[in-house]
Amino acid sequence: MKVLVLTNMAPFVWGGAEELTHHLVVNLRLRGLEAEAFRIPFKFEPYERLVDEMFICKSLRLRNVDLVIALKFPAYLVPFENKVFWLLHQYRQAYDLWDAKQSNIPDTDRGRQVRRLIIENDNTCFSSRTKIYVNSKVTASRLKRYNGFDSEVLHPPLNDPELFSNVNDNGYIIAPGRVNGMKRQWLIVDAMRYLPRDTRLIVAGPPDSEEDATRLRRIIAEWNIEDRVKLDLRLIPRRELAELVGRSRCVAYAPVDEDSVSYVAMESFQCCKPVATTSDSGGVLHLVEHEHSGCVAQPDAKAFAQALAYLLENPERARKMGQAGHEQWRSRGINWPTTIDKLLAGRR
Amino acid sequence: MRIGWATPFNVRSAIAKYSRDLCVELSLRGAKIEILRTETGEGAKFDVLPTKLALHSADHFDDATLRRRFDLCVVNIGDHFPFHYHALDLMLQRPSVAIFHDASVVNLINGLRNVGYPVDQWNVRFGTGAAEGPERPEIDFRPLRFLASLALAAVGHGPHYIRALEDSCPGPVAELPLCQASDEPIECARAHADRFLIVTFGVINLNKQASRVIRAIASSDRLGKRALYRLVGQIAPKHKVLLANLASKLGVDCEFYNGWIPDHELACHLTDADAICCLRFPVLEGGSASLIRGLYAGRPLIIPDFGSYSRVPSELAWKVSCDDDPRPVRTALEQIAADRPAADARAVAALQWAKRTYSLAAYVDALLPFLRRALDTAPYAEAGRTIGNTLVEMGVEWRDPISLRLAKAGSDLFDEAD
Amino acid sequence: MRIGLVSSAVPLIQGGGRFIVDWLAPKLIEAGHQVETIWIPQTDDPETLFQQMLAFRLIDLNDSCDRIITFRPPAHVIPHHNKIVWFIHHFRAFYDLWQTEYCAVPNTEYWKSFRRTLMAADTKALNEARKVYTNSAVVGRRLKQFNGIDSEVLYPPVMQPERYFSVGYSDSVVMICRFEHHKRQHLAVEAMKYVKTPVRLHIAGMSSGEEEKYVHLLRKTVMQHRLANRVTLDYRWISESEKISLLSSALAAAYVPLDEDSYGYPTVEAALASKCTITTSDAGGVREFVSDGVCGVITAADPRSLAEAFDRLWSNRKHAGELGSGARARVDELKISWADVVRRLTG
Repeated sequence: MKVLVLTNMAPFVWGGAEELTHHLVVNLRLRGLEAEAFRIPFKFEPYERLVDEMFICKSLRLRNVDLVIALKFPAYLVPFENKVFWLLHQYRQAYDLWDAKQSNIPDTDRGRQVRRLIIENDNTCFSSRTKIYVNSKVTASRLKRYNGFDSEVLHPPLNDPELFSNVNDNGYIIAPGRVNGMKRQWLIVDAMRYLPRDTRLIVAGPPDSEEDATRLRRIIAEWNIEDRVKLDLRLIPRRELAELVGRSRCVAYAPVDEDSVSYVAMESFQCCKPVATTSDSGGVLHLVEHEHSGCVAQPDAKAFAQALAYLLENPERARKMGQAGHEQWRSRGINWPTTIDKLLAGRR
Repeated sequence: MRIGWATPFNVRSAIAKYSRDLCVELSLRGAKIEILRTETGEGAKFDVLPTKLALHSADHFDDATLRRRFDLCVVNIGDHFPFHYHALDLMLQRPSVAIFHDASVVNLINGLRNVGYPVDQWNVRFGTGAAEGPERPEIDFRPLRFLASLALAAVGHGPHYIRALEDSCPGPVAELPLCQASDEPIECARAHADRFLIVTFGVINLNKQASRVIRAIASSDRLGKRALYRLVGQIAPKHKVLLANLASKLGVDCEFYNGWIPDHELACHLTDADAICCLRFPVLEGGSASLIRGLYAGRPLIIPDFGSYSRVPSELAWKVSCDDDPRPVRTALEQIAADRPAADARAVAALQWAKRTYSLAAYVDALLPFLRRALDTAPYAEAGRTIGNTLVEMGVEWRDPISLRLAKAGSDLFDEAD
Repeated sequence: MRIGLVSSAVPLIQGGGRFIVDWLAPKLIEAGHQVETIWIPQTDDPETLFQQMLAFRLIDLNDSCDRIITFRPPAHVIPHHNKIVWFIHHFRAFYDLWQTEYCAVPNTEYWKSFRRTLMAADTKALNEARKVYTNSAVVGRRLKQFNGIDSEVLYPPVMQPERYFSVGYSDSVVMICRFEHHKRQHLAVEAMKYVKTPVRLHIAGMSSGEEEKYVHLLRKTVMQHRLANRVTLDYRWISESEKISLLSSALAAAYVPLDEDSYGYPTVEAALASKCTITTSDAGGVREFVSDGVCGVITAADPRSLAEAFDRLWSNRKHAGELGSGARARVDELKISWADVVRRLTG
């Protein structure tokens, strides 16, 4: 069977979605299928351009393909009979970000018209008797709320689980992932001032902007906690990251209302490490259970510090929680073979 | 060029005669033509025009066959539903060159509505039409615009609806003067040598303005009792009573030759005339067969200064305003009566001009290159239709900015530099 | 420089049109550029071709790429302020294959007009390019003839030329390319009916699913004429290593496509392994590389003539070796090198 993965792209931008696309193709091939990904260039500024982009996708034609797995707007509009959706997200600026007034589409007559076109084309496309998977409960509930379609959550698995294992417990806390305001590494760093001098936190990930990095440095300087916090602000190679997580006591991850269970949580549990998170972290909470596989704290520095303190002071509890998290995560079947099974089962 | 020529083809249709004469001329120039008849119901009851051309019903071929059999389909569109019923289906099936014989096709569209076509949805898509552009507000151009939007290319026979065609047809548009074979001169005895005979002919309905002529005659002391007004052609009984009453009230001598008038008989009436009044208000047709007929008669002719009539040089006919004012008509009639030799000379010059302008040869000279041009643009125009379908599928509204951007990008890539 | 490599493609069909892009990308990166490869799906269906072209026309890479290099049509219609076209072929059914058996539309006024419209659009888009390169002189001539466009030939090298080597000259003529009717594997198979020496034929390659009938036909021919012990039909994807190994010991290569656009990777791959290529007089671009008796053999396009050539090389290994060396020298003579390609595409 010939499978084409269709998604969009911004030239020279490579991130989680691109990794996912790549590994999806690799795993389809491992299954013995012919597979490749086409990534259609997508430009959404100025917003008027969105209509052109939809027209482009609706005008392209495919042959020599048995199944399309479509990931993103507007690439999923390319006409094809046998399509399975695995939505990473819709064009959020026409949906929840529009409601949150964070859209690039203005609330003008034309803006509303363009938004209507996006919604209508999504609706037509999704109503084609085709199986819809989504990457998270958040995406699923948005799809239900705005478009009225039911979908099944299919979490993107870890792309390279073989790298991640429980190497040792060196007693430090690690906060991996992209650094920005919404990921709230600043909250974790801030929490460190409530912890003993000999505790260690490593923040490991690339900052989205210089301000994001500066913000962390400012907190460290303000509370004079240089000895407690190490900032490793760069894109950490995967092997190195796996090593860092694998030797930690626990993982601290406190994003605001994350869409999905998050790679950070998955990597953590793959390494049998408990996760400290906040009660407003969204999708992360689908995986992290308080006092079972980690600690869930109120989103303020003091409460978060208490959660971390608990894990630091009780290494054996922490180890057990990490183990429980690992087992729970394994039992969810969030891995590539199961994912491919499901995607293929969705076809007609 | 292999042409499928869609037209009514019965003895009662002026467009049928036009088509027959024209197709003979086109065949002489090497085109291979087959007629696709568009009549339905009562329109199909009339005798077929005698011809050697191959005749089929327009719904006889499927799309693939049409495409294989013809390089181009040409569809003649007039405002008489029973004669032009199949025109629409053919245009929907196969992008065609449309020849619009009427500026208003409201009756055709109403006919289609009556047999179940979702006409009103089309009008919605084509905006308010009537009030746009320099067009006369008396005509609702929306149906015309809709049909033109389906055409590969469009031909009009007068200046008054070209803009509407250009606005809505995706391909080239041309204004050609209508053509008509000229009659052999007929010798007719003048029956009214002592009177000043004014003739109006054709289907006598309200927009032929017979009442305007009657008022003009009545208001003229100079013409006075010498004038005789003759109405030749079909007329509704109610309308006849109305006109007869008006004439007798105003003291105008008025005679009626009603019913279906055979050609040679009509020719005698026209030759007989001292002045022919060929008026219209509003001008709903495209080109006017009556105008040409009037010019070919070689008699002084009074016409509105509008539409295809306006194309007649002012020094060859007597042009009056296109409204209901009797005074310019009276002035024209008085001028003709005042200097008969001068009026006759003007009419003869008009006849010569008309024979050149409205000849089949001249028409075909212009039509053939136009059809070739339409054929050149046909492939991209067909793509335009699939592109349009995609836009409709997307829910894009008529005249959305994306349509303009696509049109621009498309012509940027596909239009050959002129 | 941020370079976008843009080409149309039919998904999951490998071939020259994909290789030229995939192999170029790492070479440009080595030269210090950022490279993004963009494949846009496309079909040759004439009913939607213009709409597909319009979609390509709307693609906007002006902000994201400092330069785009386009390959297979209609990628060249994408507008860009700094567009280089490395043209590999036209929509051939409407160009040089017009009204041949490879052209599916009839010779009517409509399709003639369609053809003119396509040509005008291609010409327009190619004229917008800063520079037009072609993969062969044949394609360059067609561009001149049909579009009036001047271009330079830029021969595409194979991926890793340094990996090829020779261990000598065995009994086997090898033929490694996609199974496709116009690649004419059948000529070589039928030639084997007429050979007089113990020469062998080894055909290897994949095809798009649509050509399976053709492969079946070849198998039938082999069976019917009891050629199975001397003809190997390897209908599968051959890895680079396997290909290199096969060529290293081959007697010679055969490559007999009908009027091919370029000299073809098989010709260069054979030459890199110091093997000459046997081809036919109607093979098009292949003859840009092969000159008869110097670096290969050119025969008439019939099985008997091919059989004679096979026999001649089998009987005279020394000659096969001389021609093989000639072929190797020809690679350098034509400057088929990545360094040259990168220099000219980024200049």
